[in-house]
Amino acid sequence: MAEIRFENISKTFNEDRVVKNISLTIKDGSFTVLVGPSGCGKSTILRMLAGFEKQTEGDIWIGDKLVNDLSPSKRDIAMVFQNYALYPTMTVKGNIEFGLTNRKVPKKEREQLVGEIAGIVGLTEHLNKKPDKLSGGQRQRVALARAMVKKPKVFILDEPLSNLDAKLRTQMRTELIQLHEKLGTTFVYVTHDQVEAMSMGDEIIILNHGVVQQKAAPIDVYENPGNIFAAEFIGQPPMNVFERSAFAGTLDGLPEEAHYIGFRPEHAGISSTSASVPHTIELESEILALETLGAETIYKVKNRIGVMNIRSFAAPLPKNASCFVTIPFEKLYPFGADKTAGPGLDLSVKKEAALNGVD
Amino acid sequence: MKTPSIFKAVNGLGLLLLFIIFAMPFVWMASTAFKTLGETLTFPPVWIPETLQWENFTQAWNSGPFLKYFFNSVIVTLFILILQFATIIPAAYAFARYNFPLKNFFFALTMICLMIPSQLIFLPVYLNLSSWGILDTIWGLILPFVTSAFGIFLLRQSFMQVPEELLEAARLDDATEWQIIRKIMLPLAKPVLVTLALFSFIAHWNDYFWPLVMTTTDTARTLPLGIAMLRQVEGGASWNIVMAGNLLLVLPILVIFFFAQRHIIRAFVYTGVK
Repeated sequence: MAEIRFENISKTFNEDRVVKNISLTIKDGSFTVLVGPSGCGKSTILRMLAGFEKQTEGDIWIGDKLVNDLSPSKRDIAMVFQNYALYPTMTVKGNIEFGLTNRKVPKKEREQLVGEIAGIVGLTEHLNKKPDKLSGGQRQRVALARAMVKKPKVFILDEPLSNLDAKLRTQMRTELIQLHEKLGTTFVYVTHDQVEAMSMGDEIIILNHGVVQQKAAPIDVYENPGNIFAAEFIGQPPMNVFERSAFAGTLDGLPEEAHYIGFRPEHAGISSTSASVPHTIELESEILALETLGAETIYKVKNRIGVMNIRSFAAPLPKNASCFVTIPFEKLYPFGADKTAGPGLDLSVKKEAALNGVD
Repeated sequence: MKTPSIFKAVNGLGLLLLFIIFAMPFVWMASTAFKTLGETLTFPPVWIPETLQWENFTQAWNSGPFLKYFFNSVIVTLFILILQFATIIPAAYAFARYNFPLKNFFFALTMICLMIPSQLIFLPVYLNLSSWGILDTIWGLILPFVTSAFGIFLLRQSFMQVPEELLEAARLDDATEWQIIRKIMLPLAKPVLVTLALFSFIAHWNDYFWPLVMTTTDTARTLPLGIAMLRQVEGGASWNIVMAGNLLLVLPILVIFFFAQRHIIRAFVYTGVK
């Protein structure tokens, strides 16, 4: 068990500064997800935590230990790799106990530990097989078992589910959450998949261009995105964000600081008839495209503000039809000139806008 | 689509031709080894000797200190093999997995060694060994071959194909670099190692040129020299005896090849696929 602290961490590859002065605390026993698009620095942070890369500046603490100069094996961590990195010439048992053998753990104790862990991840009958005889899910479990058997303070998982098919991924997601609850160890999980981030983490750290965009619980990230990047990254389809000028004539009396206005596709309504609900913007729109997903329909519509995505749970409307899109004032997200949701731009602004607006 | 039978026939004929080209010398050697001297000189040649002359082998073996040659050959080949692996493996691992100053320069140097024909450098090497006073000794036959540029190159290629994550996982598992080599890299490179061992064994077991240059007496002479000397008897070569000696020379190679061919084929399939 250990808290992880990054203090003013930077990493430069040649001239390229991929991690820029990050300070972070990952709580003891938490399931923290680092999420961001490729090239955002999340893997680099993970590799610095594991000790495979050395940070250019700053300190990393695991528990009360400064680990800057410790080799990976001395950091009390275990890692699950994206491609599992199982030793192909060893059996499942050999894979799990390799670390123990190297640490000179007595054979009897080794047998017991391996048996125990194999039972937990359901590999008991596969212990003598080589990795190439196992399915993707089983390999994933071997990688987990290999990490667990060392009883580390921190688990590092680098996109561990991205090689699995969709169905197995959902199943393993649940299993990982349960495993975290059972072990109570700090989990640091890297993914580019926002669904994994939202569903698994009790804290999400959104990264872009080597800078932390937001660090909060999943629901907070969704409800109160810290900036436009976070708003657009979490949510499917992403938040619709427009410049203030697009709302000219539609929504007057916006506070000075609101340079961008956004709203989530699922917060807008779509209907074939005009309804004129109070405190709501209504826009006559044209449907450009739609995706029918069964329970929901995702529309791409065009109106005087611009092109936007709308997510609706009602029966689908025909394509190319004209329709009315409604956006409640209270679901509008204002952002400042620096694209952040600044302190002067909290939710009360929306009510004010509602009072001074077209209505 | 079915391949037309005409192509099959041409293909078959081609293969047969290749087989004859490669097998002929072997068959000729084996057949001659069992002939009488008279039979070796008849024209048209006899393919199957009337009676198998087994005594050709004893005669070849007894016409010089062949036991001595044999042991020399075994010792030289084995030592070269062991020392080559001892130098090739760490070098290939370093070239494949480490970054160090002048790495590319040193690798280029290694590759240049691969391109220089040995005939070009045998004089300086000879003078060098002479100054060390190890001419006409076993060591003079071993030392010039304690490493192999080709081996470093081939093994480096094979090591480079091992994903980096595997090494990182092993480092997290408290493995030392030596354990990583022994437990992860070498088992993965097994087909390449077998191939290298075989190439090295064949090259040095059959090597004629270097022992000829190095040795002046029977103390360090190897089998190929002994076999060659079978020709230098008075009144012309007894080809049946020479061929019997040759058959004895290649026998160990054939036996080893028989057992190792599965790995050799795999080594080349591997390098082909990746």
